[in-house]
Amino acid sequence: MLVNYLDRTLAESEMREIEELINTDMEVRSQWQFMQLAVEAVEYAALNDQVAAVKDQFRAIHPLEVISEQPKGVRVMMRNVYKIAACLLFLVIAAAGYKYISTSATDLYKESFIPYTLSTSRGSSAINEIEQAYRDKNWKQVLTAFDKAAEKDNKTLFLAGMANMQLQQYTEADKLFEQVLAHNAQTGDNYFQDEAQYYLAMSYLANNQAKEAITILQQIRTDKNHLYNRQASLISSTDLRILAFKSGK
Amino acid sequence: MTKGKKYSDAELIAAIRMGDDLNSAIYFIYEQYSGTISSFIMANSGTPQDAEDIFQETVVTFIDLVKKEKFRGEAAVKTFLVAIARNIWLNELKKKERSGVREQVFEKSRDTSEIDVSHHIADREIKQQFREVLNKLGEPCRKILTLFYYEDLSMKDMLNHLPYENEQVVRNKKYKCLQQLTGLFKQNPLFARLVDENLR
Repeated sequence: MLVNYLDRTLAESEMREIEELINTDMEVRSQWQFMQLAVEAVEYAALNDQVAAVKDQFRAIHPLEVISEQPKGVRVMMRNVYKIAACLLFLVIAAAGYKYISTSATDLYKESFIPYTLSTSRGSSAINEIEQAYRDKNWKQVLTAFDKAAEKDNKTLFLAGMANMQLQQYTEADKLFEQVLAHNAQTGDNYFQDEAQYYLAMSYLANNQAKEAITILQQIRTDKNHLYNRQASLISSTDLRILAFKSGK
Repeated sequence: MTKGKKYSDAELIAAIRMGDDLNSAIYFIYEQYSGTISSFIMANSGTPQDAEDIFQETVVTFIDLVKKEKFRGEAAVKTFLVAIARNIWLNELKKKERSGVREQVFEKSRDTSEIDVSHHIADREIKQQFREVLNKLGEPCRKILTLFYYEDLSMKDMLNHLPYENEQVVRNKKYKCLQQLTGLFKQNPLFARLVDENLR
């Protein structure tokens, strides 16, 4: 009878009777509720199937785009990779920034400067006053003797230049080294040419004249026969580039 | 079904309630809203398959609510669908114990003015149990009951879909299938408890 009531195939009076039973009889009401659940389940499942069928038709025309779907573990891993890469990039930029700020001509001079040592010539004539003072590292005496010297050859000029460098009188040192180079240019000679070139570059660095220093150092680095090619090549190219960039501003 | 048929919100609700061309209405819902809601799910820790499953459930729930007149167009259809999808997805996240910080942010990000559909979604467990019970019913019974109660076919029309001799046989089969299914629901603890609580 409940099925007929559900399907509404009963006469009006019978419908009212069943309704009364449902309201008054717990057993009938229980059965009725279970039956309603059964029908609701059938309807819901059928609706679900219908939606699924239309979805399939829709997807046949509009496929689901799966754009680089990654498993959650890969996504987490990639996020960590990006974080590490960002940190590394930051460190690189910070290091580069620090390098840029901290690189200076004078610092490069301090790192690269090697004092010139006079070689001992056997069987040579008496060592002159300038050379003796230089060997004694008596820089002021070198300059005193230089001032008194009647003849100032390239060696004398060079040693006086080195004494000036030791006394941090770089502008005076520059002039003396430049005189050596000018002498050689005039005579076609190369006496103390390489020494004067290299230490002129050093003096320029010490005097914060980076541009001038770099020009000379680059010439020395390209000349494999230059006495100071190795020393010049040991100077960091990055440092020279930074100095060139800074001096170019 | 008419693919590409357009509906206003009111027309969509009417079409669902009438049930004449429900396939066209469903197709329209997919066309209009599947992209938006799928993006929403995937932006909240969902995979493309999650988005597909959740949207399907959203559509089923929406249609069910419209048919039962629990939604009459008091809000925009899109708004209502998003609210349903959000609730289902949040429910799913909790179930999968994926309630990490992101999911909690998702839960808390709900617009306070958003429609509260939680009471409609509360019976999701019941719907899932429906499937469990129906799976115990044989396919012939399921087909008979679907033809009669969902597709609303007459006994005569049902004969065209079933391998039975006459209407009376179909009627008898239908009766037995409904009794069998009702019995299965009685045996299910969840439904037994629900009915028991209801009777008190």
